[in-house]
Amino acid sequence: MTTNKATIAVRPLEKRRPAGRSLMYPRRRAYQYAFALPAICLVFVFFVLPFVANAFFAFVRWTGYSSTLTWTGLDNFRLLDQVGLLRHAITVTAIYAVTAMVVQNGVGLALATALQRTGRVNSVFRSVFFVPVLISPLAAGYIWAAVLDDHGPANAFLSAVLPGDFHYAWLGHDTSALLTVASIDAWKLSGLVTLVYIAGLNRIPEQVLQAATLDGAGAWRRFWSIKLPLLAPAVTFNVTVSLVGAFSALDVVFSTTAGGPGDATTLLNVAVYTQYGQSFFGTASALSFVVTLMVILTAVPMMSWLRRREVPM
Amino acid sequence: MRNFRGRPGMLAAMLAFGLAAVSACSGGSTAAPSGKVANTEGAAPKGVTLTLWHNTADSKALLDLYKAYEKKSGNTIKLVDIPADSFPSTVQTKWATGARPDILEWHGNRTDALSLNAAGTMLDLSKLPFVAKEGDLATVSGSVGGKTYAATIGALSISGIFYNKQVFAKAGLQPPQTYDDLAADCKVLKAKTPGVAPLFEAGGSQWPPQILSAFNYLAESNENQAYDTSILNGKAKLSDADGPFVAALTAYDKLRTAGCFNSDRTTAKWEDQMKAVLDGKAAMVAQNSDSIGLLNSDANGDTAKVDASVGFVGVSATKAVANYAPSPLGTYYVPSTGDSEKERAAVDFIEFATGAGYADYIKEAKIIPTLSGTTTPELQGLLQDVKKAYDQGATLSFNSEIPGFGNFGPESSKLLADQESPQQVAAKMQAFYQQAAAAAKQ
Repeated sequence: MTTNKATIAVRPLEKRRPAGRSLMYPRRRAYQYAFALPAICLVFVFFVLPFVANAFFAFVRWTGYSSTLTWTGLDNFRLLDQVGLLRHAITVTAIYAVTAMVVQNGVGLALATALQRTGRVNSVFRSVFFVPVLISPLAAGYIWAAVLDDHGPANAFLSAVLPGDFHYAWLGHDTSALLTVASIDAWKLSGLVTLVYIAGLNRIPEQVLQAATLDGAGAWRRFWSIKLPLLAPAVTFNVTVSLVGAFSALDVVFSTTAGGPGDATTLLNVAVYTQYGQSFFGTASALSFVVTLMVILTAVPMMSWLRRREVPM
Repeated sequence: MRNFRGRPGMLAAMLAFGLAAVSACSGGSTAAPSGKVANTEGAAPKGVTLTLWHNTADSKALLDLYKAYEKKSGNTIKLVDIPADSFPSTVQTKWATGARPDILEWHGNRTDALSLNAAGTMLDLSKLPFVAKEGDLATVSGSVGGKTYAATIGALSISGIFYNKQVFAKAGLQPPQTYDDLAADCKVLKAKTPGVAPLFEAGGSQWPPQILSAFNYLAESNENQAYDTSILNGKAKLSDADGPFVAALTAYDKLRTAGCFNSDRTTAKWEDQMKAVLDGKAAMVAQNSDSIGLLNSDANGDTAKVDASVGFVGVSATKAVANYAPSPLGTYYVPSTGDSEKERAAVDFIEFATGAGYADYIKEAKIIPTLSGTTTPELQGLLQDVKKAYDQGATLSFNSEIPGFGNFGPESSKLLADQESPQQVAAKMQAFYQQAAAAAKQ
């Protein structure tokens, strides 16, 4: 009966509304647009315009050598491919991004699990692990380059705990340089990822975990079967942000290896910088366009897939 | 459907606005017209503020020269600091936006002058008195199409081999003259001075490997710019399997495979290699004379210690020939800005720097003058070695004239890191040269 009364009470109001409109809708929409306007302007000026410009210049011969800009179609990409720069930079960027994403999320999730409960000690450690996020990437890179020097503290420590002298050039060999720099990038941002995972873990209803415990589920089982599935929104955010961020990496690489040894850590953005610094603005734009395409083609499908995994609570 | 129909219009507006912004921002397309000759008529204006983009590595003597000009002219020089570490890329970036200083300190190499389209964007300084005093240098520094667009007063950058005198004495060796000497000395040094790197490379800075892998080797091939000319007129290619460039890279690769380089060759930096040769941890370093300042600094200004420890010689493929290039420090262009008063004042600065203020600058800088008619001041011992190597027939560094060689640093570093063969590096440099040459002809 209560339901019927409520229905009856609402009907006259609905009848007074103009067809197809809500009474409150027009005012709310204007209100929303007013709030969204600054963001829309910023996105337009700092993303849409540069993207359009970048896409245009990627197909133009534009260099400091000449005042003339010429539409050359795919020539910039052909040249970059001819000198082996394009494929190599894409491969290196992909390996770097995946490594940084895996390390960042692995470390972040482990730390979040260990520091989930809010307490004095955990709060101190949360702050400690967040400090690298606040350090300038260039400063972090220079510090790590010194730490990982052949005769630096890292090798000195290993020499102290391992038999014999340990003088490995972490940044001096192709594979180890790439993995090491990606790990430095991951180290720098793990604190942020940790906070997101902690928020995700604290969002899981305690009753669900207690019920599982009563049913005899151990810590591992609770983690794999309850916590991890319910952490899906945090995973979506962290994986996407860390991967996309790593695609655009430059500063940490620059301050540790500058793209070397040889071209072992020459990511797309390092190659962009190099081309731009030599007045080849068209080829630099082409490489930059590839970065944008990689981000879009990776992030959109991945987010779509990860969102499907999310479980409503 | 309504929303969908709205999108094409919005996209079109967005593209139109974007492309309008693009054309407005593309500095290259709005550059000043070419062929503008420097005006030296009448008295120079006073009370003008001139913007000078300068390298932060400028010596105190150069900074004092700017002050001396301000005092003499009544004009003000507003220095815009460009960090030495990122000097070329920062200048290129600012230049690409259409920004122009009234005076630009920039590399004199023809390839660098081309990269800023000097013929289209700078004033032609060919009729100024300094050109005659510069002599042959005016035809290679800041020179494009037979016209001189730059005044070069900074010390030339002379490349060769720095060697540690004590290490060589201990090994019973004489300074090298050829690449065969380098290979032979390497063997002896490895046997007699263990723990000392025969040759110290600095792949971590990327640009130093260029010197030993090509510039030094090719010095003798580039007498009167012979090798440059053959590349530029298409008679030879950098990638020719039997050409000098591949031979240079191969000689370098042999030194690498013979274990002549330091163990941290791929990560060590320019600063490390100069310190190593001063401290006797390295027997030899292939570098240019710009590094002497760093050596003096490493020795806390004790130039006598530097002179007692380090010597310099020219080394080429088969004979002792050094190679040189104009330094970006103390090389000045006058961009065409369209402001005739400031252009006239900027030319006045060039006239002062190469005229009334030049002798005092050389005296304070204690460098070898680039303009005739000025007495060479007393030079420190190491710089005397450099002058001797230069006077014995140094040739222009072969990369100075060939566009596209900005990529050679990373490419030679790949050779050092054993990522590419000499032939592969040469093929890529040929492609980069063709890219730049095509752009320059556009």
